Parts: sequence; structure tokens; C-alpha cells
Amino acid sequence: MNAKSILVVDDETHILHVVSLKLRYAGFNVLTARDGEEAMDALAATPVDLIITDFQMPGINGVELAGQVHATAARRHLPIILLTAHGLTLEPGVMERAGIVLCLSKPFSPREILSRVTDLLAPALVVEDSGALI
Amino acid sequence: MHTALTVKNSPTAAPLLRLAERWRPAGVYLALLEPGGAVQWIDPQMPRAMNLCLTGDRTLADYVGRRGHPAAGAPHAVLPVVPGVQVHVLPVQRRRKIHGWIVAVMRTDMVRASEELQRLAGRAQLDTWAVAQQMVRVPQVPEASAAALAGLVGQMYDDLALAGTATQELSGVTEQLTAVYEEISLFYKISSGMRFSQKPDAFLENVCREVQEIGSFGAVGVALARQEEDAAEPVIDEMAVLVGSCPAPRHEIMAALHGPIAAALLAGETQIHNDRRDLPPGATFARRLACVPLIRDKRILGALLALDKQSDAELNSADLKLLSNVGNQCSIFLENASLYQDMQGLLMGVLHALTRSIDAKDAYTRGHSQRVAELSRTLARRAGLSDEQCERVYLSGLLHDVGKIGVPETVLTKPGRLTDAEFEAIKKHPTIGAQILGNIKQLQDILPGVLYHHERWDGRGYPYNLAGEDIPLMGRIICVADSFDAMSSTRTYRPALPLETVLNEIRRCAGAQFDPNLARLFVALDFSPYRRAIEEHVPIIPMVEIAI
Repeated sequence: MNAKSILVVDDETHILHVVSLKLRYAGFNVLTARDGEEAMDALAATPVDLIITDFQMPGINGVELAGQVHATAARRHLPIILLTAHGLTLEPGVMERAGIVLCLSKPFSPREILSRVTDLLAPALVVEDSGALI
Repeated sequence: MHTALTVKNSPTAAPLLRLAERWRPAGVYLALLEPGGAVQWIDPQMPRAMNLCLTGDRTLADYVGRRGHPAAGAPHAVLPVVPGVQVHVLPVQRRRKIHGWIVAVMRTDMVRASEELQRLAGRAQLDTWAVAQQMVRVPQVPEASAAALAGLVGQMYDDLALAGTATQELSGVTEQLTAVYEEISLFYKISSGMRFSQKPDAFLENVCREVQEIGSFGAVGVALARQEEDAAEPVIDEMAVLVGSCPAPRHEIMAALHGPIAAALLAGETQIHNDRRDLPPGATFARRLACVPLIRDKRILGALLALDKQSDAELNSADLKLLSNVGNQCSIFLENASLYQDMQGLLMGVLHALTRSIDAKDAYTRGHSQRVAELSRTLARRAGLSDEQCERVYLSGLLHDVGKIGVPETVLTKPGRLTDAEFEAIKKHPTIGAQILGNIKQLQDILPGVLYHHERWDGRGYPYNLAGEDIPLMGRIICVADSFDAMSSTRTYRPALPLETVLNEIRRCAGAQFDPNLARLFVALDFSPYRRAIEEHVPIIPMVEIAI
């Protein structure tokens, strides 16, 4: 069973470092990008299993990035987690259209991110193992 | 003589391994020695012939051994071993201390079967000619460049080692940053979750749970201070909250830790005990203990406790900081919750005093308002209203007869039948009550109970002849409770009626005077506490939990 890969996108490098470290210690492969453009480049080069992206970034924001990713047939299934500043609420429907399965507000707990990521990626692991539905 | 080749994994060796890969094709072969001269690493892909030049005799070992601790800027030496081969030795030096030696060996000229080569080969029991032949195949490095190349290797090694250190440091910083993120997230959660109207226990339990997880403590708990009425000091004798793996029952933990808690409160700061011997004899259930006093403005509120780390490690300064900060937030919460409770108590005390004084004008109505409040709340609960709504009904029941203050006392206490004029005066009490309370913003929602408790389901009530569901629910509820209490207590004009009689009357009047559904629910209630209250002519002690 190969380790799952996660792409983390944020213009604040300290967040990239913290989230990457937490996920790597847990056994995931982690790719990082500092804005939407770098993210799309990274995705073109390497397939991933999940994306975590900040909302506020230079260039296209997290929702727009998610939308672009979600629009490609090959990546439509990718779960996307959005990190937002506290208090930001998205219009209903926006999340669904962009393929965002979860919004976490900052300040976030690294433990919680790991826990949510594990939950999102776990079922797939189990299904692949036995081939049967849970 | 070093004949054994050893490879040791170390941060110092790692950069050299990478360099060896790059330099090997150019004919520069590398090795790393410890400060004392022992071989830490030697390129396993180095041709045997070149290896021989390093390990074949004691030239290298002696040189390094002699150098000891050289002055800053010790020279980069070239050792003579075999003509045609240069052995360069560069010190790995940080702040005047030698951490090791880099050895770069190169063939700079033809290597003949010289005396020196014969001696080395002989010692290693190898054929001199075979060794010389192998030498021919080793790439030759221009003699003029050899020193510069060796220097370059040394420089690259330094840079790589520095980069390695920086990466390690970055990892360390990132780990610490992760811990800080958790703390910030926790404090954010705590502050946004603070609602001073909620019971302390629920809030504290959440906080303890989060802290226990973040700090990986064995157990975390809070003991609250209790101020007895006549006691000089508050007493802490109960563990209100305890989460995690609780090694003993709460009361046992509380009893055993009484001493350390008192000490922390006296000192006014968090105290950490990492040695079991520092703990009181009864505290066999823990090895490490942290006590955080919860004090605001010299007022003792309680203590936050942490027992053991899950890893059994000692409690350190990071734990101290986390617990102190959380303790501070808990203190703020407890102080505010306490002030809030005080306010609540004051308010309800005043309202009870007010209604008691109104009821007391007539000995027969003493306690009436409070009994109606209690009965109304119970009926509201049975009717499925929320806890908060039930408390509003209670308040409305308590104040429903406030308007009687505007009715002449002679009319209120008159034995025997009232004249029409006197009756009209009494009928004003709902509207008078609503006027009295009408300007109080926080009581707007309870006015319906005050104004409409004399309306009848069949529309023949007062003051507005409202009927059925046009009568606000609060009014309908209090109507039932009010009538029940009036019938069940002795009045100036008749004695108290037995319970069954009263309940039958309520059943009979369901649909006429009373909301049939509420009447049905009411007669099914348990009246034993009420009976006692009537007999003792005292109000039932109300339990006020939620506020205005």
C-alpha cells in the first residue's frame, strides 16, 4: 500500500512547514506550493490524494483554485480542505461547486487537521484493501 | 593499523558520503577521521591501492595524533606516503575545536614500484606489481590542481554540514511552532466558548479534555472553591471535573492532594512536582503533579491539576506555561460566572421579596405566587417547552399577581361576596401588572402570563375576552396553575378543597375555562410536593438555574 500524497498550498511559509511536518510524521507524502499557480504546476507533475489550501493568497484564491481543480475530470474526486480566516463564511453551494469538503478556520489545531485528513483518506484505504464495501 | 573498514552513520559523515559520489569519478577519494585519528568513514568504492596509502602504515595516524588541538587556521597538510600519490588532510574545525579530519587522496603522477610502495604492499601481504598495475587505472589529477581541489572538497563539506545543521534546526523550530499553534487554537476555542451563563462544570470539562490531549497528560482536573455562609475562607474539597485516565476515585485524589493544592494557593503560582517523594504519602496514584492556583483579585476560585504525562516524562517548562495560561482563562471564566450567579441571585431575591410582600397582604394568599410559579414551570415542562422557556414561565408565574398592588387592600382581603364595583377593581390587576412591568426590557416576553392569566378558553375571561389559541400559551398555563392553587388553599370566603375535588373541577372545566390539552397534562402531575407546601403554608423552594 503506497503512502497517500497531500498537496498543501499557502502563501505563509510557516503554515506550510507546520502542516507538512505534522502530516509527514504521520506517514503521508507532502507536496507544497505557495500560490495557485505553483499548485497547478505541482498537480500536473504529481498525482495527489488530497489538497489543503489557504483561502487568502496572492493570485487566485483558494476557492478559485479548488474550482479549477474540481473542474478537471481527472481530479474531480479529490477532497479539498479550505483554511479560512475566522469568521469567513462561504455562500451555500460555493463549497459544493468547488469540491471543498471541509472548511477549517484559523487559528487551526494541527492535531485536528491530521485527524480530519486521516478520516477523509481512511475509508479509501480500507476499501482498496479488501475490495468490499464497508 | 586500520585494516577494518567501518561505516558509522553520523551527521558528520553524511555530507561526505554525498561528496564522495561526486569526486570519485575525478580521481579524488575521500575519508573521514575522528578528532583522535580513528577512521570514521572511508569510501568503500576507493580502489584498494589508494586505500592502502591511507591505512597501510601509520603516517596518517601519526600526523593526526600529533596535531592534537592546533591553533585556529591549522594548515591543510599534504602527507608523503608513496611517490605519485598525494594525501591531503583538512581539519573540520568549528570555533577553534577540531571535530574531525577530511582526507582526500589523489594520484598526481605515475606510481612506480618504489621502495615505499613495496613496503606498504608487503605489510598488507599484497603483490607490489599488482598494486602498481591497479594504480595505473586510477584517474590522474594534475599536480598543480591537487591542493585547490582538496581545498574545494573541504569547502563543500563545510557548506553541506552547515546546510544540514540549518535543516535540523528548522525541523526543531517547526515542531515548537506546531505546539504553539495547538496552544493558540486552544485559547481561541476557550475564549469563544465562554458563556458565563452556562454551568462551570460543562465549560471546565471541555477545557480539561482539550488540555489533556494537547499536553498528553495522564489526567487533568479542576477542584472548585466553595464559600460557606459563615466561613472565613472558601474551602476546596471537591474535584468538580476530572478527565483522562483517572488513577483513583475523585474524593481520594482530592483528599491526598489537599496539601500541594493549599501550598500552590498560598504561593500564588503554579507548582510542579516531578519527584514522587515530594508528593504527600497518600498520593500513590501519581508520579508527577502540577497544581495551578485559580485566583482573581485575591479571590480563591479553585485549582487546576495535571497528573503525569502519558509518556511518563517529567513535567517541563512548556507544560508549566500551557497549564498556567489555561488556568488563567479558567479563573477569568469562574470569576465572571460567579459574578453572574451573584447578579442572578440578587435579582431573583428581589423578585421573591416583592411578590411575597404582595401575597402577604392577605394571610390566605401567602406563598401563592411562588406556588403558582412552581406549578406553571412543571406544567410547561410536561407540555414540552425548552428549559429556557420553562424558566421564563416560572418568572411569569412569580409575577402574575404583581398588579394586585394597585387594588385596594380592603377589597383584596374582604371576606364574603364582592360587589360588582369591587370585582371590577380586582379585574384590573392583570393590566396594572403589565403596566408596572411593561417598561422593563428584559421582561417583555413574560408579560403575556401577567396580562392573560384570567382569560378563558371559551372567551368569557378578562381583560380582553380572548379565546382558544388566541390566548398566549403562557397565559393559559398560568391560568390552570393559578386556579388550582386558589381552589386548593383556604380563602377568606371558603376552606381549601380536597385534591381530588380540585382535579375533578379542572377536568370539568377543560375546554371552558381551561385549555383542554393543558388541563389534561396538569391533572396527571405528581402533587405530593405541593401538598406538603400547602400544609406548611410555605412556598416550594424554587430551583432557578437559567437567568433573565
